[in-house]
Amino acid sequence: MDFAGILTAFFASVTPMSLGVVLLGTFLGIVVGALPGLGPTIGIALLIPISYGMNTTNALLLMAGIYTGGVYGGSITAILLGIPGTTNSTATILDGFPMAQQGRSMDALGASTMASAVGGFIAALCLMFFTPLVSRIVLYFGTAEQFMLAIFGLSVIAVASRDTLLKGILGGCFGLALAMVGYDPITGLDRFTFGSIQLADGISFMVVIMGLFGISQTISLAEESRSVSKTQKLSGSTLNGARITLKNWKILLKASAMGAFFGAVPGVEGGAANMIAYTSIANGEPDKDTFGTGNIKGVIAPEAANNATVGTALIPTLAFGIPGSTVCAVVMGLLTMQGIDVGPKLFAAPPTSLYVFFWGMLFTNFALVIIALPLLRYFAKVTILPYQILVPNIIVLSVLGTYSLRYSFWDVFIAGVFGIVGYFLRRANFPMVTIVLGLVLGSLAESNLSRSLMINKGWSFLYKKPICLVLLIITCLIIILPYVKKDNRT
Amino acid sequence: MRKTRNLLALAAIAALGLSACGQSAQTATTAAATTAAAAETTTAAAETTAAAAETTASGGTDSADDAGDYPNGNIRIVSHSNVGSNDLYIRALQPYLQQELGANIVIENVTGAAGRLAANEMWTSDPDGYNLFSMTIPLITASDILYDADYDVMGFEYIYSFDNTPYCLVVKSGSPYTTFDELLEGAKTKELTNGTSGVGGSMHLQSMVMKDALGIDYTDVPFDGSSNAVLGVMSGDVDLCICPADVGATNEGEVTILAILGTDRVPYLPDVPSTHELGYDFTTLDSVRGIVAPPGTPKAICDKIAGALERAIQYPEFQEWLSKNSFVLEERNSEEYKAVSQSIYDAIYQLKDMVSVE
Repeated sequence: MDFAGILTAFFASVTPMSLGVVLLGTFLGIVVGALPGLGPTIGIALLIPISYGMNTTNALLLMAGIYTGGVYGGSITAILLGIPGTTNSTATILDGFPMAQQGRSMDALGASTMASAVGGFIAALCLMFFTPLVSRIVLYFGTAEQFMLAIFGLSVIAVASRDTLLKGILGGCFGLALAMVGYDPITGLDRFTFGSIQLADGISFMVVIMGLFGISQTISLAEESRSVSKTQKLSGSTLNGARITLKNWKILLKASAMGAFFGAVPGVEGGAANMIAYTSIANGEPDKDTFGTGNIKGVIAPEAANNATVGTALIPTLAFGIPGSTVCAVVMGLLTMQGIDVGPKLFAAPPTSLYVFFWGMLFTNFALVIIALPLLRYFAKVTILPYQILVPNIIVLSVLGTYSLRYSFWDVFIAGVFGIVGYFLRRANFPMVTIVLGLVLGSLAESNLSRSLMINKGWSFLYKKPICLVLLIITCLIIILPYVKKDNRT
Repeated sequence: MRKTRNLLALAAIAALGLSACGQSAQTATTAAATTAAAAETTTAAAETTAAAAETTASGGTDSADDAGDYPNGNIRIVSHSNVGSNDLYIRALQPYLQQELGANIVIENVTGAAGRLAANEMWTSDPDGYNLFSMTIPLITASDILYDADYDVMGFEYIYSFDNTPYCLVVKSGSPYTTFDELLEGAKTKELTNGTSGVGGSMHLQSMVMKDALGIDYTDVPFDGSSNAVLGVMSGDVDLCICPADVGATNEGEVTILAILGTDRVPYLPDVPSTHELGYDFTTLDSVRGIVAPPGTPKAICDKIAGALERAIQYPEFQEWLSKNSFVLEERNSEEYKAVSQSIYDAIYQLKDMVSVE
């Protein structure tokens, strides 16, 4: 434990200039994260060329801010408009948007800010102090274990659907089917592409989410001829939301732990972590039937989880030079350019700049609270805008966001298709989160299963590998228990 | 009062929407990058002009005149990868290249379909010198031969390449195989597994060439990318991995590098023997990274770019970056670059039927 290095870095990071840089980075991150289709990946990629002329401390602190702010920022549009800014904020829509519809958007925004800050802070602590330890654990999760994790994630669908199990399973299967479209690295074949090279790249889940949640939302709003907030008034405050979040500290800890775990393990990214945290925590709460109708806990859980993935996702990146996601890859790129050589040799001789980055990751969570809480009340006014102004703007934002993913109008078309699909699914009371879960976890589950079968020449890994066995048992319990409980009651 | 509030909120959304235009954001940041890079490199430029004058540039003053007033606008360099060395090296070179060419350089990532999307786009881009392709072979070569591609990798205008990264063979640290020969013995008696970056990918192709030449067999298990394949070795899923030498070097400690595939050792792994030294000779598909242009780009412009690249590479900051990041500098001019690409093409073409894809 290099306490000397940690202290030196601390003093470098608390100068007024450095703290200002953290605030700036966090602010930029929030803006980039809030815009649908952008996100921390683009924010940091744009930062890389600018960072050449900057001194190392500033570049690293700026990046820490953009990363955290970017992951958090998606929740703003998720709550106010029902459009996820990034995949990390998909589950936030489920309760955050109903809250906005009830005029309680400020409570929701405050809750999401505080939850994100706490989750991010806990993960940043793990990053600073436990990276070498956690990195060993990461190595225990090989391809078979990742398969079981994906299955565990999918089993959460059973929890998400509760009374509408058939619809939930249908949604999950639909999502899984969508995940199969495109080039498959296991067989080297293009599947379901109908000869189109656009489809060879698969169906991006961001596109599906924008369509299913974003565009279908505009159709609903236009149909019901109202603004987002049905009551035309705003109640609550961001401070109130933050206060309630801290009162629910148990949920905060559970969600942060889940987020931290899924962030570290390769494969399951933040995109799935927030949904898994949402559904598992919802299921464990006494008022679980109110989830999905505007229960503030439904905002706290996914937001804490998604910001918790931020810190720990960097652990395999730093310890092995293996980025678990595209964001981590660009972060790694910038770290390398600033002279931080990732890989097993890093912690043998950690440079001070590494600790500067860690402190930045810690401070940015405070910056989040300082910046967001006062400013968000102005953003909340969006929910009382008349739909005639809101709907065209949301459509423009969604189209821009979808196009900016891969500079492809094809993606925009797909988003439109899913927009219409989503509208009808809403009317049929379909739990759309199950489609997203299937899509996000589908390719992970399939490729890891193929590999595990190849390596073990069969299914023996399910019972021979201890972690797989444990996950298998937990998954079975999750699926069976609700029925056992029901029987006990009758 | 209510109207003002609504107008403010509307203005906020409009501002957000307008700022979402990726293009304008990109040019704004490149302008900032140029100013920053220019400030940093003015001192460096003074030192390197002397070095550059000595370097034989393939574009002399004559061709510079023929190139007209090129460049007089933004130059777009397309990168087919947005992670790892394939993308980082061009980003690291960008500020110095901007200095040498005297124009803004925008690096655009077009990822997907194993490089095919980027290559297809570059194939039909305007051959005016303002569209360039940062290309890594054999990746783009393999995608051309093995899949349905609109481009012909040999049809591009080869400008300059400067990196040559060989493959290496790694095992988990603590593995029973401590030398390359022991591994070959092990492959003959046990059923080993090798992690690749995907079916038909460069690692897989290199593995097939090696198995064929050495008369051994093991199962190639495809992962999603080279990083995950190496992670597979570290977590014990697969026994070995034939990966790019720079990836192996990064993870030294968790993995042991048994040999470098090829004739020479690499400077950043001085104790690792090459397969040639150990007595094994077979075709190696080294990664070669360089710049090409769409077919039909005028030679004068290509020569000017090649000259600028050659000078940009000499900047001390870039040289330092190269050595810190385990890049081996091996410069090839237009003819040499095209020649090595042709030999890689021929080698992969012979493997075509062995790789079972459509």
